[in-house]
Amino acid sequence: MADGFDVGEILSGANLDWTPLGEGFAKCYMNYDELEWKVDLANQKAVVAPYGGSIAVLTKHEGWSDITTYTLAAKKIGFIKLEGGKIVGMGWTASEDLVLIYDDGTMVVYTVHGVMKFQRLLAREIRDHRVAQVRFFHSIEGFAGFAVMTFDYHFYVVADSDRDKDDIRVKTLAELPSGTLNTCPSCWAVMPSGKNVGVIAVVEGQVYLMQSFETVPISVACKDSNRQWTSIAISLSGKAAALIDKTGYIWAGSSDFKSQEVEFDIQSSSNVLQMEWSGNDFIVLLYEKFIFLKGLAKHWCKLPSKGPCVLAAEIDGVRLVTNTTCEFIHRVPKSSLSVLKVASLQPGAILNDAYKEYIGDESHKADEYIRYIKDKLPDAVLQCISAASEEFEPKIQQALLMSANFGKGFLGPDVSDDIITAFVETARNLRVLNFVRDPAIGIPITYRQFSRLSPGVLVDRLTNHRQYPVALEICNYLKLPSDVGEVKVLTQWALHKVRDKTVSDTKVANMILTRFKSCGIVISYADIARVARQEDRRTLAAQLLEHEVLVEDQVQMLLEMDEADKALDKATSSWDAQLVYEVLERMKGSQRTSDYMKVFNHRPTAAALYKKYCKENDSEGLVNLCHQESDFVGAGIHLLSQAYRVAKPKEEKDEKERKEAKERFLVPRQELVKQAYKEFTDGQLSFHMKVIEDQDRLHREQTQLKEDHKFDTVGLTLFSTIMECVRRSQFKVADNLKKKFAMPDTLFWWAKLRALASVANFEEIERFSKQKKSPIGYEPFVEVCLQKNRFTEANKYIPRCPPNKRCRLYMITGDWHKAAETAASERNIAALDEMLQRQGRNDAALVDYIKQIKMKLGAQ
Amino acid sequence: MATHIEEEAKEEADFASQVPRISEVCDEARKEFQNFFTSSPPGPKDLVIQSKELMTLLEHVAPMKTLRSLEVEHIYLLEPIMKTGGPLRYYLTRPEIAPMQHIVNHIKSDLNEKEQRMYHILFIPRVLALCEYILEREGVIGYVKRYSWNLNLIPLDDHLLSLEHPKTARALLLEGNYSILHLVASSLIDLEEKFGTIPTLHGKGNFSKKVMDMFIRMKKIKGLTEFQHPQKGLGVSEVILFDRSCDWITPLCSQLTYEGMLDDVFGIQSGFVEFSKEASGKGVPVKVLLNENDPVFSLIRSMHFSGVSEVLVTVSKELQRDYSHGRDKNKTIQEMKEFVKNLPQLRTKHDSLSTHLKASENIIRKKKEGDFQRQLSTEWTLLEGSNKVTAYDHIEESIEGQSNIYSSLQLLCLASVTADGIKEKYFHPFKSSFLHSYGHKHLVTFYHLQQVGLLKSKAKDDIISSKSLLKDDMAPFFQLQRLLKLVPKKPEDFNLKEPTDASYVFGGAYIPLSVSAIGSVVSTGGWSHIEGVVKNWEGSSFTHHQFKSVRNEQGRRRVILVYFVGGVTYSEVNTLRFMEQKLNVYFIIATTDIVNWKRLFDSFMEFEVT
Repeated sequence: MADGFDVGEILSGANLDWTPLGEGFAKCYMNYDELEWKVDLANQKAVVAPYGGSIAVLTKHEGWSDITTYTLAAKKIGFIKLEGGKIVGMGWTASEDLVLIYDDGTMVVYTVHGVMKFQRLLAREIRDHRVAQVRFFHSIEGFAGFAVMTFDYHFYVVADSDRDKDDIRVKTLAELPSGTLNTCPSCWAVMPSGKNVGVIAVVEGQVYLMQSFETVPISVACKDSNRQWTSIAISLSGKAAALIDKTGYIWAGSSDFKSQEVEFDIQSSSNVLQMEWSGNDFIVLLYEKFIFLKGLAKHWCKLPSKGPCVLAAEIDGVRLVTNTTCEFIHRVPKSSLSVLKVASLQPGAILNDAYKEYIGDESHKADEYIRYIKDKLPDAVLQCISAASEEFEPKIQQALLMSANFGKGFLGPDVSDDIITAFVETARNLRVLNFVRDPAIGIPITYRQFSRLSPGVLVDRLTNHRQYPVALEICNYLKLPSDVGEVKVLTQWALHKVRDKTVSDTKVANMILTRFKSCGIVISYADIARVARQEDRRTLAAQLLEHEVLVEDQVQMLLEMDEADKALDKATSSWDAQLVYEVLERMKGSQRTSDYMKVFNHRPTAAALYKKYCKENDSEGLVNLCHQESDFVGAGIHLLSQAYRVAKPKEEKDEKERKEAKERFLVPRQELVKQAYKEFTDGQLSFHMKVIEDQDRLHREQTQLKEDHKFDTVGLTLFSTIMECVRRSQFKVADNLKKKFAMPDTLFWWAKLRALASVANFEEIERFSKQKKSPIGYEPFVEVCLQKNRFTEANKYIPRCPPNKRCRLYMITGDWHKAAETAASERNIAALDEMLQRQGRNDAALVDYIKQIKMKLGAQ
Repeated sequence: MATHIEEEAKEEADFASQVPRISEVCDEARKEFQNFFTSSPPGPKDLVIQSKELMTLLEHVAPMKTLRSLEVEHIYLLEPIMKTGGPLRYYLTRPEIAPMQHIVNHIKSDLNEKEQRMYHILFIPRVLALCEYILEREGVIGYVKRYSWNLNLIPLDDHLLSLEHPKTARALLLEGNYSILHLVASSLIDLEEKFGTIPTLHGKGNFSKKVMDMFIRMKKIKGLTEFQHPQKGLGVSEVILFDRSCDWITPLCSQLTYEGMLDDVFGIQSGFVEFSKEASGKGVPVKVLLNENDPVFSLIRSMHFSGVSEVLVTVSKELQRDYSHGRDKNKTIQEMKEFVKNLPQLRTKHDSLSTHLKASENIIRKKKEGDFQRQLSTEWTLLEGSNKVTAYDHIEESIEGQSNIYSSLQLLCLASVTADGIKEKYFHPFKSSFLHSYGHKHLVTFYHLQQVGLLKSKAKDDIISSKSLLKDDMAPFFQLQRLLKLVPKKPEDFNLKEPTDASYVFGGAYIPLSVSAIGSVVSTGGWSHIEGVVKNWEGSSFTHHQFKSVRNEQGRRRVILVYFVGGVTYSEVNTLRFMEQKLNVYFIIATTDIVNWKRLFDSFMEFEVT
């Protein structure tokens, strides 16, 4: 337990810098002293960013001015040289960008490093009437903005100054009542209540709340209603308000001014330089000669002057920056009181005592103390942990955590998860905080501020300060999800490298690639490439983009870089059709059709997708593309398929309508077929041409048929047309068609046979069968008869079938004797056995017959 | 002995309780769907659905009961003109151009008539820029709220997941539209999220390879680098990605299992089969959900059709016995109670029985109409590859006899794919007769089939593909057929009712190439043991280990996901299920869609066959 420092002494001395303020204590902690900067706040204006952020110092010279930004530990960050223009307001956004407001209503935003992000005019009315005063504010919810008062005493509010140039919304507040319109408010402040930001202004002693749509006079709950208020302060949470008049009378209470908490006469008529709320706890008044702390109720205390200085309100205190120091004034939190206040009987304090005894080798006393708080031991531990978190001094933190750990040991296995989590988290977070509070980093943030800010935002800040290694360290240490941590930091780092033009493209690319590849997470190269392009480093952009894994982003970026061909290749190789379409769509918009079509040379996948799109949307485009590829078959086939996709009309009831409808779809169909034919001709595709020619001739024949014989075959195939003729016994016509179209014999026989069978014209079938030797054999004849159950008819053709089939066919027609005969002639014993099995019971004669045959066969 | 069986049964039940519950796969999608409706103002809503297919699909995710509870009053099919409906309208559509144009028309006509409505479009599976572009171009985008509904795999049955992405083969092979591969890869990621990381990936075919590459890349982008254990129960130990274009043979064959035949004859749509007025025998069309919960269907689904009627007769006898048992007057009250309790079950069984009796009757009738036996024997001859002359005669006969355009195409394509092309001297006459017979518009069909490689003509002077100069029986398929013993020597002796061999699904004549290869990979743990197969089979064969597979207990049944990229047939599903026992694994089958020859050909024709 020898820790190199005396824990007992440290713990006993932890409350020495407390200043009593009523029931509680205030504490002024020196974060940094002996600041090494040449700043004199008596002559230079300074503004501090919230949450221990940077400080901007404005120096005016003859005819020009400059701004230097520092960390609170006075380490220089950036420098801005300004020429011309009258700066009325200066302040910070929530993400630590510096905002300047000029009297002509111009808003200019710089990064903390002094790089201008953008400038814009707030509003024409503001320009016309000039800016008189500006007040910056930041809310407890985490957004920040400012309010502007023009010389005609109109108020405008920007509630979120973090937005991009064109997204910044300037809200005009309602006017002051007409009677007071020409009077300058004696004091005013921004009232941040949620997103509905307003302004509280005092005009001729009357307090008004101005919001977007109305201005409401507010009566202050004060005995003397005629006070001339000269200063006003609203707490960050917007819950508490304070007013002071020129005699030094202070009013403080709720921000609706309805309940008064403080009534106090400071009895000093000297001007109050600045008035700020420390949290909602007490007011800090800055006078030239002294600093006055006014607690709620009666208590107050006075601190000696620290020279020229500036105050900045935080959620839990007030930051005070002087020419040589950076301090933090705040109320001593409850847990610190419980544990560290002299003679506290809180369990935490007793645990602390026990620990002090324990390391002082008085273990029996320690034991006694522990036994005394036995039931409240968990509370005691938690109090110590919480008190540790409130401390700036690492040694005190450590001592308190050791106390807590000591107490934790007595809880044994029953120790709750809450305690363990609290202990581990506090210890871990404190390590981070001590790290960033170090003057080298210079962010003296409190535990509460850190909790409010969130680790992610702290990392952002560090990144913003270009403290990349520190930021990464913290990401890893706190195990932040990579998308809010590592990825962001590394991206910003890479962007920084890209913007640094002193290093060559290849070097930058190599640095970024090596770093990114080594971390094993996916980082958007496209985002970085985009910046490289903005910085006019095209080669670098292209180099980086090659490595992008998200094809969507890569393609998008390539399009932005006018590398459409490359974008198309990437999209195609991703196999994401949608992406290809998007690229094509973009290209179509920006190129001439002829150029556009060239894109498809050597890109079959893209061409195929484009064709699919065309099939549904742009038939002509498809044909054109096919021409370009000399793909006449493709073009012709497409036209042909279009022809047959022309929707067939629904059945119309009316004869006339039906006819019309049929024509409506037949005419465009023929037109398309004609076009297809032209394609086939161009491509010298004789087979395809002949098919279409045949079809065309067929169509003519069909029309003729309709006229001559009054039956409609238009649109049918040749096969069906012939069948139709046969069904109507127009055999001559059918024969003619066969000849004209050189229809293969086999096909014709099938058609005729089927047609005859379908009308059950068996006489004609028989005649047909005898016409000449059937090219399709005679089995089909048997089959068609069988289908109509005409067994006798079927039997007629069986003898002409191949011998090996006959037996089975007879079995189907049921001519068992013939079947047996055939089987006999073929010596097919198996077939005979099968017959016996199937017919054995019904047909005695057959059985005898078969037995005879079998005997004969057997005998042979 | 008895205890041994009991033990086995217990083990089985134990295992069953641990396998991934694929019915939970689209739980998120279900919730998402409900949120679309509950987040909008209350009041009756109209739901307009792009197609009948989507309607059927929706029944798996949001059945009627759910829709009612979401205040959906009416459901409409998307038509070009729509003038009815209330003020809250929801469209459900895939991100395609035609439906967008209909929707634009609806909105424009409503605007003209000062009809005020709120329009919402739910896109499956995501909003595409193209659709937004159309809405924007037509100036109506301001009236429409658009949502992506990431509905990917839908559990159609206990073992079967499907993206139900229509016409996948067409999209992939003809249109070069590979978006579906994205969908497959992201659905795999979703599956991993639910059932844990899958340590090993096997795959066959170039599209499978692409899916795997995308899958790995997407995981990297999402930062999913650590092994994730299943939330509960067993994880999937490996996935086998199978690219449909590596086996066109199987979907070209006429199916012979009961389920396969139902699909061939009636068409199964998202697990539902619709019997027409005539086929149902009830005077009205009947829609039946086919899955394991159907007590009769589950018995016969994967059987060869020849055994089905026998089982149906047995079931019917059992039912009669159960009913008559119930009518038995000498019953105790307890027995009576028991009987009444079981009555609804009996009723369901009865209904199911009559449905399937009717259906199998229908199948028998249909199959008698055409010359089904000849079709089968021709298919088998082509698969066997011995007697090509007879087979070609039959093809000619099929075309000229106009038996049926699908049957003709089946035989033509099968002849071409098995032999790696048809010699020009046969091909040309086949084509001519085909066009005369079925109409010259089928020039288009031929062109498409040739483009995707289902049909190929082997010209003598074709020097481009030197492979085609090989003798037919040297074609890759026949090599595979011999190596994997896909065609058993003597199909005649086969016992179809109690099969011992997976070839039973095709009447003992053929084991699906896809399944046979998958079986080898499963039993040997990769491709290395079937080198000959790999060498003769086009498309890459790969194995990738994401993580060292966690071997649980020795000999424990593994859960294996088989993902068919480009579609699976019911026959293959049946075969895989049949092989589970032998391989001692549990298969989960996922697919982009369910195919058969009919849907396949339909997708390559530009027009409906009349």
